[in-house]
Amino acid sequence: MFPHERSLVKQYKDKPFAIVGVNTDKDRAALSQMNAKAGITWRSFWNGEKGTGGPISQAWNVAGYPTMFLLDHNGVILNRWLGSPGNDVLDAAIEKAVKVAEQDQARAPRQKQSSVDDIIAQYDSKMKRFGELYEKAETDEEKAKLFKESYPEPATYIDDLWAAVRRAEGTEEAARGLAWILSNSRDAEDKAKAMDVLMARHSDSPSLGKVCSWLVWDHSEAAAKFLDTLATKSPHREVRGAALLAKAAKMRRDGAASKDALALLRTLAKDYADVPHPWAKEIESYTTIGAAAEREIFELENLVVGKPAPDIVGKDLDGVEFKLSDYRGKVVMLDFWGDW
Amino acid sequence: MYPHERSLVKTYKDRPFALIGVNSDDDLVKLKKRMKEENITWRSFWNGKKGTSGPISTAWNVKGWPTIYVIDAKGIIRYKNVRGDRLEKAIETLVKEAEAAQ
Repeated sequence: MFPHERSLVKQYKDKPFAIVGVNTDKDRAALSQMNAKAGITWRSFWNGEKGTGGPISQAWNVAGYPTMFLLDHNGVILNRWLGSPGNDVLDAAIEKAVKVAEQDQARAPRQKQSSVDDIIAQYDSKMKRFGELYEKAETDEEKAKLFKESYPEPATYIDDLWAAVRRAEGTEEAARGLAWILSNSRDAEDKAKAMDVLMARHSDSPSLGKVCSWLVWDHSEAAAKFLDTLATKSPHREVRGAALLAKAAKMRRDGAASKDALALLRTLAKDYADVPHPWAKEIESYTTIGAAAEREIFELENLVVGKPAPDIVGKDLDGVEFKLSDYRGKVVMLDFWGDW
Repeated sequence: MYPHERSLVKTYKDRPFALIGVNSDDDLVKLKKRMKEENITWRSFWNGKKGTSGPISTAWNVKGWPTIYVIDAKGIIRYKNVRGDRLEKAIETLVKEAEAAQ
C-alpha cells in the first residue's frame, strides 16, 4: 500500500484531500523510525498501546486491516472498505470526491458562517471606528474621503445577513437580523421581504422596538399594517409602545388629524411613563416612551406657528448667560445647529 | 448653510433681526476654531456637553439638525423649518413688519 498512498499524497498536494491514518502499531518509537524509512509523511492517530484493541478502532468497529473510510469535505462517509478495494476503485472514488469539494469551494469562497449577531457586531464596530475617525477629521475633503473609504455601507452586509437569517430560521436571532435589514437596507424589495417574514413569524419578538421608529418614514400600506399588528398583538409593552409612538409620528407626518395624534400621545404619556424608549441606550435624551410622548405633546401644543416661543435661558459659547427674550423687538431666526 | 447665514446676518445688519443659534457641538475648543475659519459671528446658546441630547434641544423636541424657527419681534413663532428662498422671504416679511411697528 505505501507506494500508492505516497503517490496519492503527491498527486493531491494543494488540493482538498488528506490521508489520515489510525495506526495500530503498539510500539510508537519503532513506528516513527519505520515511517521515516518508508517516506510516510501523512499524519496518523495512534490507536494506543493496545494495538488493534485500541479505542479508536473499537469505536469504529474495525473488523480487519486495512479498513478504509472515504469522507467527503463535509465529513460525511462516502465509502467503507475492508481490505483494499484496488487502486482503480480507490482512485476513482477519491477523484470524484475531490472534484465535488473543489466545486463547492468555488461556489462558496470560504465564507465563515457568521451569525446574525456577529454580522451586526461587525457593522457596529466599523461604524464606531468610522465615527471616531470622522470626529478627528478636520476638513471637508478629509470627511468626504472618509465617507468614501471607511463608511460601512449597510448594503454590503445584507447578503450575509439574509444567509445568517436563513440558517437561524424561526429563532429570535433571525428576528434580530430581519429587523436590522428592515431598518438599514435601502432596497425596497429587501425591506418588503423582511417585513413580510417578521409579520408572519416574529410579531411576538421583543426585538422590534427600534424598527418601529424607522417605519415612520415608510409610507407603504404594509408598514402601517405592521405597526398596527405590533401595537395590538405584541406581548411586549416596549414594542407596543414603540409601535404606537411611531403611529402617532406617522399621523403627524401625514399632517392629518393632529387631534388624533394628540389623543394617542396622551394615552402613551399616561400608560407608558415607565416603559423604556427603544433608543434609550443609544440616545441620552430618550428615556421612556411616556417622556417622548410628553415632548411630542409639548411640541404640538406650544412649538407651533402662532404660539409664543418658549423662553430659553442659557449660556453662550463663552459662558455668558443670556435669554432668548432679550431679543424681543427683533425678528429672530433660531437655528439649532452643529458643526459635526 | 454657513454662507447663507453669513449673508443673512450681513443683509440685516442694523435692522431688527438677530440670528441666534443653539449649538450642539460637545467640543467647544474644536468648535471655536471652526467658527473662526467659517467666520461665524452670531451668538449661540450652548446645548452642553451632551451635544444633540442637551437640555435646550430636548426641551424643544428637536429631532433633526438643523431645525429652524423664525420668531417675530413680539416673540411669536411664525415659521418653522423653512429653508432657502422661503426662509429669506419669511425673514424679509417679518423684519418689515417689525420696522413698520417701530
